[in-house]
Amino acid sequence: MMEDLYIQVAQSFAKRINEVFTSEATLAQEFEKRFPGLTFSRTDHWMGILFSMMRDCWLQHVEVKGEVSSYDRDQILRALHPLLDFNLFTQVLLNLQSYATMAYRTGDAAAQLELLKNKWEQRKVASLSRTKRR
Amino acid sequence: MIKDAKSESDREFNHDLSTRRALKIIAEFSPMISFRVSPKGSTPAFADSKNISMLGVGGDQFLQARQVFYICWEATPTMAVLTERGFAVKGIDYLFQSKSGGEVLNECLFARYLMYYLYDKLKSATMIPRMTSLMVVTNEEQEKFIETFQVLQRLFPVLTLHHGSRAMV
Repeated sequence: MMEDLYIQVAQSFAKRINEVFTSEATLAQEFEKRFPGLTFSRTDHWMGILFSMMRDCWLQHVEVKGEVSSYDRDQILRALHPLLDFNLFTQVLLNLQSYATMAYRTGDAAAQLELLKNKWEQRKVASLSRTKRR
Repeated sequence: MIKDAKSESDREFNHDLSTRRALKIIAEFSPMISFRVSPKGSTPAFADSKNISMLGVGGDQFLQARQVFYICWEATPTMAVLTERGFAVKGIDYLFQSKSGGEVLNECLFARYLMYYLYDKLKSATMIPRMTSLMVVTNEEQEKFIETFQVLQRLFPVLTLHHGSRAMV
């Protein structure tokens, strides 16, 4: 049953999360293992690190070695939810949830920035000329 | 930012400043976002590799999603209670240490608690917790989402819900 597989992977993953999130030193150790030579960061690369940890757990349990699909990832996260406290789970979720459902319109960002700049510059000029007239 | 902005001009200035900051962050947006991790017992933070966690109201108008909700609050309910050995949090079996007196800890944990709760109730959602708000992008039926929110609101009456974007100016 696939459901059982997801539960088993989630259990292994939860165990690893609990180990890795024990301290700053254990986070740094995992970072060094995945990105040897890079300066440790608690902000950068954790999407990749947590995905690799999940993938390792997946490969421990599947009979036919294959990659984790986005569906598998979602199902493992669902099974992981009751196994971790909300502080740890949300850190994992933020790094592994899909952001494909959202985007930001960047096309007109430059034009918008210019509009805002001009708007406040014009107001400043108008305000200064009013002060001079007084 | 102008603190306690009362006049329309001050509020407009704050809104435009938020938009300006948002535009700079938005220009860098990609779905490959890495969020800051914190070990057990350390104060978590709203931080990520693209600064998406820092986007304010000014960014709402640029978001493209089928359906987005913002759950907001002004006063944060108490999540972390100071004990002799650190901050205790209901549902977490380790204590937290905080250098800022627990304010940031409380803020982050509250946003994360909401996220944890909603994840369990919604079939699909992408959520981003921020200071005093939680953004929820979901395909869930609007009525169903509102029902779920109302349960949360009964637990935390400080919560307000905004659909599409938050009120501006």
